[in-house]
Amino acid sequence: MSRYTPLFLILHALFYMGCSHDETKKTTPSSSFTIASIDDPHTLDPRLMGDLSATTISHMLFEGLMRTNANGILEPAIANHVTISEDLKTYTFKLRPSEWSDGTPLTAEDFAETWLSTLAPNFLARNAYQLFMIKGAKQFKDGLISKKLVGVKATSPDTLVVELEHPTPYFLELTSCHFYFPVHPETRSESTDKEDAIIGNGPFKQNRWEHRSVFEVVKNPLYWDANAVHLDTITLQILDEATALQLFKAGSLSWVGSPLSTLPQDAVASLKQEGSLQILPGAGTHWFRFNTERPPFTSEKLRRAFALALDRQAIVDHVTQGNQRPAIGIIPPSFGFNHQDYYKDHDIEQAQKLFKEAVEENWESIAAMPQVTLLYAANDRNHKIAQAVQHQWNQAFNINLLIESGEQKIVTDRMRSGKYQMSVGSWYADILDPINFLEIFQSRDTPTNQTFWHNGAYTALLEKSALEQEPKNRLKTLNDAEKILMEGMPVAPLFYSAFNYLKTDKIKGVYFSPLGYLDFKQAFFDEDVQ
Amino acid sequence: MIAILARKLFYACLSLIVLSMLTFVLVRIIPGDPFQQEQALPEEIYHALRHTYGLDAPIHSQYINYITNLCSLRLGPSLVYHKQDVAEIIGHSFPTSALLGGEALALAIPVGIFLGLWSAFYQHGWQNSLTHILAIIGISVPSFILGTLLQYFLAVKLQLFPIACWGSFSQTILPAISLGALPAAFIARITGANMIEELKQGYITTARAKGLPEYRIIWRHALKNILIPLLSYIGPLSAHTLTGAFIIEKIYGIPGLGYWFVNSVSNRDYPLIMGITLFYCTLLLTISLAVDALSLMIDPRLAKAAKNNRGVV
Repeated sequence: MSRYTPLFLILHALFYMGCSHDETKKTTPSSSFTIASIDDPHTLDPRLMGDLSATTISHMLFEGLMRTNANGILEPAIANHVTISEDLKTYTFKLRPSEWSDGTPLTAEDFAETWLSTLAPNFLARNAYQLFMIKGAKQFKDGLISKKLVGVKATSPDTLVVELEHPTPYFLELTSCHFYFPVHPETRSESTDKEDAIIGNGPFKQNRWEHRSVFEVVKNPLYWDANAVHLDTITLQILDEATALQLFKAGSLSWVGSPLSTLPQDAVASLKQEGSLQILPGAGTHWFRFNTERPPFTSEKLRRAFALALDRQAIVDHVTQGNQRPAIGIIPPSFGFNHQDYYKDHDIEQAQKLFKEAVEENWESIAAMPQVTLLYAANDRNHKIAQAVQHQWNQAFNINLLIESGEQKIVTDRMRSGKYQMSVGSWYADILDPINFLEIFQSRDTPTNQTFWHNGAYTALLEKSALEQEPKNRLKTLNDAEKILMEGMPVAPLFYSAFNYLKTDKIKGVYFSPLGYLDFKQAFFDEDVQ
Repeated sequence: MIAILARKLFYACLSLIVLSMLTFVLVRIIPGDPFQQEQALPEEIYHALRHTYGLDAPIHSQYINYITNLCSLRLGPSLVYHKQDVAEIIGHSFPTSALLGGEALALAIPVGIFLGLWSAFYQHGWQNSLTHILAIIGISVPSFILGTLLQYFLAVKLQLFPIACWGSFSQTILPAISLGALPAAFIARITGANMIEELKQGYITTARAKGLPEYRIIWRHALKNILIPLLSYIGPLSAHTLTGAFIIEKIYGIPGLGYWFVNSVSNRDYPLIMGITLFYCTLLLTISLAVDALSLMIDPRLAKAAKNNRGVV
């Protein structure tokens, strides 16, 4: 099929050009919203979720103690009121009266039992570590202590008391995330094998699920804040990206692209030109990973040279074209983390100097330096990025860098086992806290740290930050840690992610989290918009 | 005839066993596993997941375990889609693929045979050349190009059909045409070529000498004899078409089996890969057996030849 690929791309490109003048002809019924999704949710149990479509669905079907509103402000949700102790380690949540979608009352016990079930040693929750700041949680997961010693207690049907190991400034935000959502006793008991009708407590409830075709929710009349919910139906239509774009242009879809799907890479430029492309900075960073245990990237200077030589602006302007911001650090700006600029983009002079020094110190001449190969998972965007940086690095250092693509799983497997020199990669945060990025490199053996980089001072700073009582001091400690990381340069940051999507102008009040999920609680169709 | 079929059935079962072993081993040799992803899981969760699904056991015991479950018709759960059984996935996606494939075949077989006969009937006229050109286009234009073009012109531009999605009859028309074009072209070529050869046979000359009209010669006498090569093509083609076409499903947003087949491999969803492969293979073998049975019924010479040679037909 590969020989047809160019033709296929040309045809698709023609598609987008040809359709760019189409006007929306049909109107969608005002209370029914249809969005394109690239895949079925992998699960409906919030304790097990990892994929983006499931995360968005979780915010339709469930609600945690807190919720981020349409303006991005954290608000009490199922919790009516929160009291935090002076040592910042005990949180007392007063719950408002609310019900599950089957009419049974939702109690503090449901929260406590759900969290404990996530932490149960034999329960395979991928995100269980997100609960590890709760006192005793990690030990319970490791089977060292009993459930009773975990710091989460329902002291009455409407009171939940949570004790933390150490002050966690982002704990309230965590309680608005899907891994802290309550699940119904029936889901917890594992008595049901089917997920075709999951019971939730959110603004919407599941209506139908035709696998690989349609996932539909309807307004939940038993939701405590049902008056604030305006949409009657939300439908996820499982579609290929190119087909979804056609349907959007024909007016059959209200939203395509991020976060549940993607826009065809070839269409992004023309959509941007015609002014319909929506762009939102995301909580993710794209970077190049260096295997710091495999020559030549054992040399810190060489890693820095490669990072400095990158012309990020050119890649963002001409390759990705989705208004991403060049990355001058690890942590994206959407975190509100004021880090300094650690280097200048495309600092060729400094890069060449470092490269020369690195070569002289390690191999004496360029000829003796090991051949460098850039590994990447084969997809449209990576192909283009790899070719662009290959050219940039070859030009900057007068070397002959090779690029090698592979299937996603094969690339992941090679990175995991350290069989690579450098690779194209990215990281998207689960929570809006810098620790989410910094802890990737906490130690050499952290599974997420495929660069194998480690630094004692860095690890110590992260450990110190966990014990810091004062949020300001904590941020400073994390800032210091990022500085060490940027000196060691186990990854060369490329750009901060941006979500690209198209939406009908009529839809308002949708909260698009930088973390990559949508919240439709307050969404509505503004009929005045033409 | 029964003995021949029984022997074929035996070989079919043997192929199925060999295939299951090969698939089982091969998918595990490919690097990567279902739980590896770029944002790596915590080590203990990763190992616990592998343990729960038995992926940490030696490969032979995994295989024995799989076959034991298979004997009680359990295909196991998907490793990626939580609480979804492989049998269930096949159960809800195969009918869609079968319906689409069925429509494509219902279109391809009559159209293909008609065009083939038409070209043979007018083998020296423009009709033959036209059919030839159509068949070449049908064979050489891949289904995803045809699918994209049909979607663009007939659905997006002229708005004669829905662009995509699944549920109504009108949504099945464009994908069925896209899927049926290639088989129709092949059938037309096979029918045409075989018919032209057949028309050179002595018994046809005799029939002509007796003054039978050409269409009767083709319809009553020659057609039967070209059914054998046609059947041997239509058999595997049916299995292939009924079990889903990934690209067509992708273009038209159809929830069929093709997507699951392709994605199960990129997800390393071992039970799903095994389940769909075995399902596909069983269907293919069943259809081939049916084709063999039909061929034997249509042409008794085959049974005789097989008996004399004691070999495989």
